[in-house]
Amino acid sequence: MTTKSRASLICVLLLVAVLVVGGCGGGSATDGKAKYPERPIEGIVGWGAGGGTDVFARAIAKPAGEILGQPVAVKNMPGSSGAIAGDYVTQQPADGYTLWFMGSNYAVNVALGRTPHKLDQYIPVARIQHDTAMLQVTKTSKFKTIDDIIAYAKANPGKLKVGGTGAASFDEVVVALWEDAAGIKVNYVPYENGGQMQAALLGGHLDVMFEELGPVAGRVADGSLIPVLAFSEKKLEKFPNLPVAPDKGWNITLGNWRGVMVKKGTDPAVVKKLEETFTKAKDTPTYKKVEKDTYLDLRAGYLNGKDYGAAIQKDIDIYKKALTKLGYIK
Amino acid sequence: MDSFLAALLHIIQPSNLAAVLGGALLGMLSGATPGVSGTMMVVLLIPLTYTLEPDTAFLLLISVYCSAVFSGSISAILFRTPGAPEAVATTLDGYELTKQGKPHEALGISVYSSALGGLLGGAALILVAPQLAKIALAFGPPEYFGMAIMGLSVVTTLGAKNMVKAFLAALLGLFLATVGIDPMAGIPRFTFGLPSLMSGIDFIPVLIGLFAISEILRQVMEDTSVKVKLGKIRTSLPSFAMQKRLMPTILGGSALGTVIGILPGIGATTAAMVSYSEAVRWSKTPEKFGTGHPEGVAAPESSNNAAANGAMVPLLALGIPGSATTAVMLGAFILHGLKPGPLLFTEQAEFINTIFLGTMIANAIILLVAPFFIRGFANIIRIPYPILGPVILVLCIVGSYAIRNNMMDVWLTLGFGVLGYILEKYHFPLSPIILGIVLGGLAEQEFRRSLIMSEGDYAIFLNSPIAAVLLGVSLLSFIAPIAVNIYKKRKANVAAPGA
Repeated sequence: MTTKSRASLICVLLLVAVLVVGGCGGGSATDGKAKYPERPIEGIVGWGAGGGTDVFARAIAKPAGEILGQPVAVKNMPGSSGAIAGDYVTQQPADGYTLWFMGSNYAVNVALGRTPHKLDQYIPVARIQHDTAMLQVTKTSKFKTIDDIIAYAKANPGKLKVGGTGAASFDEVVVALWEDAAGIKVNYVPYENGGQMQAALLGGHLDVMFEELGPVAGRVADGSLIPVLAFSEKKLEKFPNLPVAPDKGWNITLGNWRGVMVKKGTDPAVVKKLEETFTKAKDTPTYKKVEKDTYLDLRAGYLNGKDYGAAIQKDIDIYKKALTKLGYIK
Repeated sequence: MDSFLAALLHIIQPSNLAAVLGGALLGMLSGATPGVSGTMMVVLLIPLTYTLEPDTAFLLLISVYCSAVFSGSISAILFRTPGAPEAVATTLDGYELTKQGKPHEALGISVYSSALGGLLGGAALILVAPQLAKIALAFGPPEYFGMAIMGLSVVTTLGAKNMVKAFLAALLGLFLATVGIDPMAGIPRFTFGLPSLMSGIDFIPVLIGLFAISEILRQVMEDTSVKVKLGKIRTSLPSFAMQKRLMPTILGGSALGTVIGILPGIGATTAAMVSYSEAVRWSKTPEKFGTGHPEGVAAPESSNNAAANGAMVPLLALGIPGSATTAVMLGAFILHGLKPGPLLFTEQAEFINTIFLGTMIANAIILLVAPFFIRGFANIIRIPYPILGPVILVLCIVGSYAIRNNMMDVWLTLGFGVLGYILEKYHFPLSPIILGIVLGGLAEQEFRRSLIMSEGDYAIFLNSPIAAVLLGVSLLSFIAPIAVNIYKKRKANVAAPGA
C-alpha cells in the first residue's frame, strides 16, 4: 500500500470512529408541548439486567406503557449503585420521556455524596414497592430464634458473622442500626452480590444473613433457610409467627423501596399523568402477579409523589446519621 | 430413570426441538457479534417466553446461553475480537493460528472442544448435580482466594521469555481490577472524581481495546500488505490424530470448567482463563502457548462450555446464580412460578432432566450447525482490510457502548486500543494483563473477606486444607520457573567465565 492510500485509510478509520462515537452519545431532540405521550418513553434502570430494580422496572413498564398508549422501553445503565443512571436522567430534557426507575440506593448515594444530584433536581412520581428486609439463618444453624442470636452476640462481642450486600450500603446501614438498638457488636461481612452471600450462609461460612425474601423464596419454602426477624412495622400476614423488629423494642423498619422519578422542570400536567398511570399500573394483574411471585406484597409499598419525596428525604437523613457513625462520612 | 425417559420424550416434541434449534442459532449470532452478549439475548427473550410452557421457555433460553458461550470464539479467532467475554482466552492462540493462515483449524478445534466440553459438562450435571452443589458450598473465602492465586501464579510460566515484562503486565491487570468503589470498604479508588469510573473498569472494554482495536491499529500502521493466504475455508473437524492429541486437554478443561462453573458466583470467563493457565502449567511445551498452539484453543473452549452447564447447578439446586446469565435466568424462573432449590429436583425431576438434556442437545447442535454457520461467517475475512477494518472498528465501538450504555466505556476501549498497540510493539505479553483483571478482583475481595471473618488472623488460609493445598501448589509453580531461570543463568556463567 502506498503512503497516500495508507493515509486515506487512516482518515477513513478516524472518520468512522468520530461518526460512531458521536452517534452513541447523542441525546434525543424535543419539540414543543404536544399531547403527551406522542412517542415511546425511555425508562432508565441504574442496575444490570436481572436484578431487583430491573425486574421491577420491566414488570411495571409494560402495564404503564399500555395505559399511556406508548411503550415504556427499559434501558439498563448500570454503574456506581445507580448514580450513573441518575446523572443521565438529569442530562435529558425535562419532558417526561425519560423516566428513572430507582430505589433506596439513591438515598444512600445522596447521603454518601456519591451523586451530586440532590433530591430537588428530580420530581418523585410514585413509590411502587417497599421490600421487607429480614435476618435469616439456615436450618442447621445453632441459632433458632432472634433471642438466641442476641444472647450469643452479647456473650461474644464482634464474633457473630452477619452477611450483607455491599459496603457503605443499605444493608450495612440497617445492620448497624440494629446493632445500636440491640446493644450488640457483630462482624459485618460485605458481599458483592446476593448469590455469593447465600452460598456462604448455606456453606456455614456465615452465621446470619441480611436479605429479602424474594431472592431466596425457594429455600425458605423448603425450610432450609429460616427467617428469624423481619424489619417491618407490623406482623407479616404470610409469616404470623415471625417476630418483627418493634416486637423486640427496636424501631427499625427500613426496607428497600423502589419507585419512579423524573427530572425537575417536567410539566406538572405530565407528572400528574404519570402519577395516575403508575397508580393504575401497580394494580394491574400483570404487575400484581410479579409482585406476588417475588414476595414484594408482604407490606404496602405505594406512595404518591408528594409522600414519596418526603419518605426519600427521611431516609436520606437516617442514612446520613448512620453512615457518619460508621465512619463513611467524615 | 423414568423421569429421564419422560424428559427425552418431552424434548423431541416439535415445539421443544424448535426452541432448542432456534435458541442455538440465536445464541450463535449474538455470541459472534461483539457487544451483543448471550446475557443480553436472554434478557430480550424473557418477555417473549411468558406465553410459552416453562420447559419450552427454558430450553430456548438455555440453548441461547450455551451456544453464545461457544460462538464468541468465532470472531475471537478470525478477527481477534472476542465476541463474548468467555472467549478472551481463545484469542491468545486462536488468532495466532489465523495469522498463520489456519483459521479453519482453529475454528474446527473450537467447535469440537466446545461441543465436547458441553456434552461432558451436561453428563456431569445429570449424574451428580445435587451432590456437586453441596460440595461447592464448602468453598468459603479462603478457598476462593486460593483458587484465584493459583490462576495468577501461572504468570511466571506464561512470561518465561521475559519475566519482568510479564510481571509488569500482570500488575497492570491487577491494578485495573482495583479501580472503582472498593467493594469491601465502600471507598472510591483511582476514580479521579469521575462518576463513570466509580463502578470500576468493565472487563469488556479492556478486552476489546487490548485485542481488537490494537490489532486494527497494527494492521493499518504496519501490516498493510494484507496477508493471510487463505484457501477455501472449511471447518473440518480436527483430524483423528489431532482429536487424540487434544483429548487430555479437553478432558482436563471440561472437568475444571464443570467444577469452576458450579462454584457460586464464578462464571465461564474465569473458568476459561484458569483452564488456559492450567493447560500451560501442565504442558510439556509451555513455551508454545501463545504462538498458535492447538491446546491453547482447546483448553478454554472446552472449559467455558462445561462451565456454562456447571453454572446451572447452583442455580437449579440451590437457587444461587453462578454467572450473569444465570442470574437473569433466576429471574425468569421466578416469573414462571418455579422456585429453584432442592424441592425442584424431587418435585419436578422431569423438568430438571428436560433442561439438562436440553443443554446436551444444544451442544450437539453446535457440532452439527456450527460448520455451516462458520463457513458463512468466515468468508468475511476475505473482504479487503480497508473495508473490513472500519467495520470491525464500528462493531467494537458500538459493542463497548452497548454493554452499559455508557460513553466512558467507549473512551476506555479506544484508550486501551492504543495502549495495547504500544505494549505489543515493545513485546509485552497481553495474557498476564487479562489474567490480572479477571482474577484480581476475586483474589482481593476473598482475601479481605477471609481476614474480616478471621478478625485479621492469617492462619485462616492454612486452617482450610483446600486453601492450603491450592496456595502451596501456587507457590511452587510460581517459584519453579524463576528458580529454573536463575539456575540456567548460573550454569551459563560458570560455563563461560568472564563472558
